[in-house]
Amino acid sequence: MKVIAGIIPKLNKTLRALLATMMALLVLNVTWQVITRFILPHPSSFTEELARFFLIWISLLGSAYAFHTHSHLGFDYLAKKMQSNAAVTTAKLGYVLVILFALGVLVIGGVNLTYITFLLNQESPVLGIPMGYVYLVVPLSGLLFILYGVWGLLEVKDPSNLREHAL
Amino acid sequence: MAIKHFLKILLLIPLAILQGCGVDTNDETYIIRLGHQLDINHPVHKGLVFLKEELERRSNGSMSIVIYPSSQVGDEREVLELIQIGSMGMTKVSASALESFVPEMKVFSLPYLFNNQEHYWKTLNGNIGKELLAAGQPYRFKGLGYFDAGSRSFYTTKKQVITPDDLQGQKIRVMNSQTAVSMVNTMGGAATPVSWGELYTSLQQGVVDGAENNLPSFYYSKHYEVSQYLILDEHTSIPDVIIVGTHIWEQLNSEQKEWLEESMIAATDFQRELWAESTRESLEIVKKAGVKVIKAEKSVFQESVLPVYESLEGTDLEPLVKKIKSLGVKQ
Repeated sequence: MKVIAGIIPKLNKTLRALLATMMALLVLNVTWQVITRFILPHPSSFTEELARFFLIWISLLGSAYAFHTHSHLGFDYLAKKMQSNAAVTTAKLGYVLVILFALGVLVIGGVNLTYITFLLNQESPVLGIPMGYVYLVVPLSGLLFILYGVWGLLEVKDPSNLREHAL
Repeated sequence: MAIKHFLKILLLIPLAILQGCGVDTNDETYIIRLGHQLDINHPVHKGLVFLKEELERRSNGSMSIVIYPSSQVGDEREVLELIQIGSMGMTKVSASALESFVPEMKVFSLPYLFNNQEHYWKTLNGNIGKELLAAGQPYRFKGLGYFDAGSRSFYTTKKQVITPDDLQGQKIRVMNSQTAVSMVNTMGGAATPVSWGELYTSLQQGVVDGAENNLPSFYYSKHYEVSQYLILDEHTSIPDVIIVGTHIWEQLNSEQKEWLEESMIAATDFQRELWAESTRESLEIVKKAGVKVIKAEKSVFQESVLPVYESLEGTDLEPLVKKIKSLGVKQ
């Protein structure tokens, strides 16, 4: 518990900085695409692909962060109607399901996908970078989901902040 | 009770999925799953249906193919990845989509690589074609054979293009491929990679001034509605490749492999005819719709892309290009 509590704030800070940087680069990249297409004579060929890769990284890492800050979309209609201990159980169950999904699909499936893509040397068509680097974000976000999920599970004991945990 | 039923159904779902993966134990039919991107009216889909029927006939019903058309299981790159992972058995992809997996396939994106149709088919049906099909093996793709995907030509919305000089300053949409980008830029145009789905509106709104594709695609995509000119310069002939995953191929016994290969040969011939018919039809329809069709002076275009070949010197592709070119000279 203490270990996680120590890690979480630092992780949040790093993640926020990383996401903000990528978002800024994405905006610059798309602006450059518009400028080259409509003002300069030769449109840039790499911008579309780069924008797509940024979007993949931002949405996967961002959704893990949003899950932690409870800003990820969730369905809380039933949880709101429950008594507090039933709601706590529901929230816990929610966290467990998220952790299982993150472990099975994002981490195990993602590692498999990344490994095969690196092994078979697939490259992106325009930039020519190994696609494995793009896919690396899948297991990475899976690990974040697990970490934040475990943290949520430990935190959810207190019924006073329950509303926030309604998943 | 209701929950019990629900659980039963829940248990049946993975079983049903597993059954699709290979041998169907009930009636001993070996089923291969094939996913592709095209509509069921497209000549390529009809060719694949023919392949399935041919395979069933030759194997006396002991083998079959289940086809998932219209990108049901994903776009070209996604299906290729599914084959590498082992979730999908077969697919049809453009050789240009294979470029990022099998580097040798880049050769087909080179402009005016083939002198004519005869040279094209001689290459595909000969040793070079076989070598290229085999080149995918280390990447878990076994190439079965080729389908005709015609020749690609330019079409523009505002300016008539007769020689490469007319391409100057024109924004031409190309596929997401470095070879395609450098080809158009070498001819004098401004290559703009735009995704296929966005192209209609891009042509309409002037994001790009033109694009390039084969005739049936020009027609099926309805891009002729927003294009005024079509110039038949036929700069590239990029075949479609039928691929079976090595995880499936290695499971087959020699008899089954033979059935599949023979069916593929028959399907190639069948699809070639369908394609030729579809090309003729498409040309007629777009002409009727008011698109001005221009015959191109191909030699001028051919000359304009010579720098593309110069830039290949010393690369891994050079020997392959030389071999293909020498096949054309002998005729």
